[in-house]
Amino acid sequence: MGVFTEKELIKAKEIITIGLAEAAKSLGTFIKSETQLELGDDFSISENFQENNVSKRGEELYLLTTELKEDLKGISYLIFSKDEVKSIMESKYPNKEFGEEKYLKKAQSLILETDNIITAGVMSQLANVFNYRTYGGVPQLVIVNHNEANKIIAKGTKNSTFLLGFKAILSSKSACINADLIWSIDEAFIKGVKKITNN
Amino acid sequence: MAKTVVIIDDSAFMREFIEEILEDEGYEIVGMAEDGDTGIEMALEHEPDLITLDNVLPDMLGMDIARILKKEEEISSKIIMISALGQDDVIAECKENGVEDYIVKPFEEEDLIGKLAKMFN
Repeated sequence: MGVFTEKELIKAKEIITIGLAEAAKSLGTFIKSETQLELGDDFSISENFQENNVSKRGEELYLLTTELKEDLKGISYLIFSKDEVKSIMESKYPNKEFGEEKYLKKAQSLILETDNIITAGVMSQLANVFNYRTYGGVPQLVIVNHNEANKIIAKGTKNSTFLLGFKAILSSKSACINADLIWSIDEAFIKGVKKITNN
Repeated sequence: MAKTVVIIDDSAFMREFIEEILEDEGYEIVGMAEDGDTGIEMALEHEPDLITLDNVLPDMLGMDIARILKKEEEISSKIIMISALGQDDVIAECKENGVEDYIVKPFEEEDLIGKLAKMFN
């Protein structure tokens, strides 16, 4: 990989993995169900991040977009299926029934909060490791199909200041959740990794 | 007399969650705001016993709201920050700006109740 030496790449993966594991832990606490991080054998922090696509199919995907601000800039996407949203709703509102309109309103609010917790889990790790002031802004939610989700992600990541990206899955078997997490980040990440690896 | 509270959080889920916990504990919610401007207005109008404050709002950061309310307006309300941001320097800056205590989300009801019991006793 061009921007990192082998040693730096190992460190970069380690930092991201710890951040993602924190996010998985936060999600698990939030939905009260053990949640794992799935990186897969092909997990990479890649310069070809624009090829990162949504794994899950479906006509009704909840796509959350969060802008990463201040010292570390970038964009984060979190994608849930309709059934996963239902599962999260059941974890927070067990045995409660809502009318269609109220359900949608509550589900959207809950999913926005879920994104907030997951994104902040990763951001807090990066901020602490690099000693950066950085945070995720207020997330935006759209409900789209698979193709539309990929188009939105391709457009959002097409930013010349974003140099790296990665994709992971946060998975809870008991809650039947496999949330896609796709990030693109700017050169502050590269600088941070180089600094702590070479110090 | 019930202690009064203003809740400032852009998340409808969190506003409702905090409201339920506090009402069950006997607090009186006198205002809820989803952005910083409205939150400051409500806090100044009611000067409640407690303000629960999110750190990332659509129009400003919670730590700046805390600074305005505590350092510039010098209101007596106690502020507890409830935020998903858990980095050490953010927590330190919030406390410098007059935030009494900080809860990192996700949290359990008992975490908030315990912090408030400590704060008001």
